[in-house]
Amino acid sequence: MQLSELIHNRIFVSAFAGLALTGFFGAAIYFENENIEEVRGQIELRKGEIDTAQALVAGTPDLVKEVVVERETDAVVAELLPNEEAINNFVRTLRGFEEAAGVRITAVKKKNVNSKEKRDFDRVVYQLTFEGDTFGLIAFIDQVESDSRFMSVPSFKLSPGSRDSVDAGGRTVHKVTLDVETYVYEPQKASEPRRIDGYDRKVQQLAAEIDEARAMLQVDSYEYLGARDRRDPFVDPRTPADSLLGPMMTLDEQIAAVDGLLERAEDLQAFWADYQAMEDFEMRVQATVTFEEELFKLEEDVRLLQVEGTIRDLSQGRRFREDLLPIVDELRVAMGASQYGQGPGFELLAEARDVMAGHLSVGRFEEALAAMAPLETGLDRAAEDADRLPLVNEIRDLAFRARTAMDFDALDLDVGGVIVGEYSVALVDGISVEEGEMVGPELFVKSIEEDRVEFLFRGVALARLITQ
Amino acid sequence: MIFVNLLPEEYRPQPRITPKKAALLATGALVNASLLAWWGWLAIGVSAKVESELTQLDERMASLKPQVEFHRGLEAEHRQYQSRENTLDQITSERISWTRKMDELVDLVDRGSEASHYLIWLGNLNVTQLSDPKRKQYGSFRADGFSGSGNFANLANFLQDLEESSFAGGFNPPAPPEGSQSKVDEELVPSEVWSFPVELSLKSPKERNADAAE
Repeated sequence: MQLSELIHNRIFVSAFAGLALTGFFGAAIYFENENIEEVRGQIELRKGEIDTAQALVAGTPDLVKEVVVERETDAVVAELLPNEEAINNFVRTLRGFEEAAGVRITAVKKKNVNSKEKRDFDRVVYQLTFEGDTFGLIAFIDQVESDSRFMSVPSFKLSPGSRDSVDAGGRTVHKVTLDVETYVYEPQKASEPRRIDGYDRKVQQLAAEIDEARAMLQVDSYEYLGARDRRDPFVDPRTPADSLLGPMMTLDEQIAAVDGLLERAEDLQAFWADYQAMEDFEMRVQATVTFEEELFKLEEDVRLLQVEGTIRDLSQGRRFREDLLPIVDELRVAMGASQYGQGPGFELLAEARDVMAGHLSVGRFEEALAAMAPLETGLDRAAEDADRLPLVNEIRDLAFRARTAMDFDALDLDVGGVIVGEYSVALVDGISVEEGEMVGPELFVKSIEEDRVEFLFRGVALARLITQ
Repeated sequence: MIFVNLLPEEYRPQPRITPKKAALLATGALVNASLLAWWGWLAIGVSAKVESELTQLDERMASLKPQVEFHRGLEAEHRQYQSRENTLDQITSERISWTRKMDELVDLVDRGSEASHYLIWLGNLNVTQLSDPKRKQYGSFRADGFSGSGNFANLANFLQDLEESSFAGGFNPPAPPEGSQSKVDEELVPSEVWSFPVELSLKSPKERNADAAE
């Protein structure tokens, strides 16, 4: 069959056209699907990006807070670390340290520190050489470490001075070489800070966090309290043999003497603490007598060592002065002026008087007398002191009243009844008596009332209730 | 018998389409119509829908972009501050308060001698603080020590007190006691002196801070 005939065959043409259309539609559908899949892929990608962005943005408020706090605390960093200008004033700062520490700087040299990399913090080191004693060195380091700008001492050397190399103050002068290190804060070029809406308000809201962050940045410093009479550990503390003249004690004897006195003083301290916790008056009186006796003996022994000057060792001398004497003085102040062998002291007498008066007011006459008993033997000696005499008299008067009351209680008096009127009458031991009438040795009727008869016994007014 | 149709071509009766061919043609037409409908559905329905969805997402992303940029900017700033703070932390945490250490040393030598009945003093002192984590060297405290007594046991007493004192915090334990007797000087009391080294090496900053926290 010829081609021209085929073309003219309508069926064939239709079939060909149909197939062509099918192919076209198929291709169109294929490409459309491809396009849709690509767009769907983009949609998934975009959704992922949006999710990421949303998650990121959700954290923005917290990040804003952190950045606000950091911006505000960055000012503290700038204050803490010197800038280039402050470093230029460093030598002046060192001069101030030198004066405050009482040392003499003999050389200042800036050390080369390899720092090829430009960073926010650049290390700067100065090497100083100075002369001074150990406490001058510590004071100087203290000045460096407690300065408002952060500085540290990474290394130092001390060459002790000889026994002869002393300054005008008698201190042995050492030679010290010391490095002082600090960091210059020069923030490198950073990205432009983002503008935060309502920044000032946020600063106010975050004041507590900002203060906390600032406090965290502050560097703790040690409180140095000076030499405090301690010896320089870089000085040979041995004593020249020729200075050890007069009454001699070996080092061990000196140690034993100071140890013994310290032990007694500490025992008395403990005794004093126990004494203050005592509530029973009689025990307190007994403790006072013992305490006074022990303290007096301790003071005598301390005084003896002071007069003899036998504590020559530096350490023991310092222990004697700083550890022992303050305890003895403190105990003496607590106890009051010594009245050892002179009867009870003023404080004790006053306390005894109050205790006795308290017992008497509630009719406990025997207890009142018991409170006086431990003091009784010393009352005569105390009465020789004009300051304590009134108290002694008061105590004795209270004791007399207590004894009188006890004797009155012991009297066999029967008060049977009374008639109260213009001329009151009481029936005592079956006899009718009036006010002012004597009813026995040193016993008078003082007053007659409806429920009681008041007597005057040895000059003390005492009452008896009417028996029903 | 042979019939010859002499009518011109256009007047001749056309041959009829067979049912089989008709069915084939109808099927083809149906398939093409279906494909056309499918294409139309894809192009007008599905494609337009996903394009629209993509446009919406793009708009949403565009609206988030300034917030994201703001966040990224803050993050960069935050990282810079963190870096500075970490550096500062490192600098400050490595610092040793030599004021405290020297004050404690003075206390130890001064008071320790009273409690333990030895007389100690020091000679040349060399203190260095290093930061070499690779070689695990962080510095040392070295001094010449002297004990004013003929009793060698005093060195051990002092070194034990040293090890147990607050001064030793941040240092590794000192080496076991060793020393030698120096020349006897009869002009001083006590006349006998033992010399010994006082050597302590510093712990790492982390260990030192742990010691300080205890």
